[in-house]
Amino acid sequence: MTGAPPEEAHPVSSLDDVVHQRARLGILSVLEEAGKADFTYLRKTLKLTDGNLGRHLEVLVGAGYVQLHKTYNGRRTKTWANITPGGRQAFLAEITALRALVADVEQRGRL
Amino acid sequence: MSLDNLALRAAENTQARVRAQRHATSLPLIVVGLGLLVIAWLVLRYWSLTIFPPVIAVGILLCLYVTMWAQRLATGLGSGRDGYGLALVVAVLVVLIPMSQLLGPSFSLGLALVILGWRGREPLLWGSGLIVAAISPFIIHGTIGSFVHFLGSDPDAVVTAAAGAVLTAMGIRRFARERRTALMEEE
Repeated sequence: MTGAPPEEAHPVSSLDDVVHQRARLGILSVLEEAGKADFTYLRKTLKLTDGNLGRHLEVLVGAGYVQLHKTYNGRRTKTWANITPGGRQAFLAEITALRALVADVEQRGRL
Repeated sequence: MSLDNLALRAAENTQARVRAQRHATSLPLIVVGLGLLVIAWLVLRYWSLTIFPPVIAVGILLCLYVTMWAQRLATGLGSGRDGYGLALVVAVLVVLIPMSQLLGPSFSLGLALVILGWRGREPLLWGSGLIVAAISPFIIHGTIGSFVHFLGSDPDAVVTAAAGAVLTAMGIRRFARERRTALMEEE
């Protein structure tokens, strides 16, 4: 019995909507490199407002990609965002998919 | 340029800037380089290298650990996967190996750079670490010193100081480059 060879999935199918959004990709880029970052650093680096950053972090926490915790240094409270193993895996999968897409586009451009 | 390409480059640039802001390459080079200079000075001033057990390396790596901890508080960024604690634990384990003083204090420092470079995917760190760790037993046994005896009464200490000076200079140069990268705006 012969069948048609299984078609290779297009790289777009491996993009994760939670990670692909610009600000969330930025947050995960920072956290994948640093492991954790405080709220103020993320807000300044990614040029987001408090509310905007808070909403994106909520989405990432909901997906299990990020965990939040607070520390108190005697004067004020700091909120830290930590990347989870699942978050790291999702970010690396996204980067792999983006690289595959870019390679695909460049290859078609040469034809 | 496609949107995907822009997203990919933005993510890669962000990671490069974060690593630069943490000074994850320059600070270990500077601290270990200065540590080697201190070891060389102690040897010239007081005793021979064989008297210094690798416990000195533990002290230097503790300084590195504290430096990176202070850096974390100042920047609001974690240490990622770099493994400063792991390097410290490995240095302590080296101390516990019988006859570990035969490896020399530079051995643990080199090994620490190898660990940090391997975990941080930084060839400059693991490459320098490999060289420092590899030459350490030859320094401690006077093999290198016998080839460069024209350097004075304690050529082993001079070689250690030279290695320290090179690492410190490389670290300072890298620090300046990291500052430029850290200030780079996202394209």
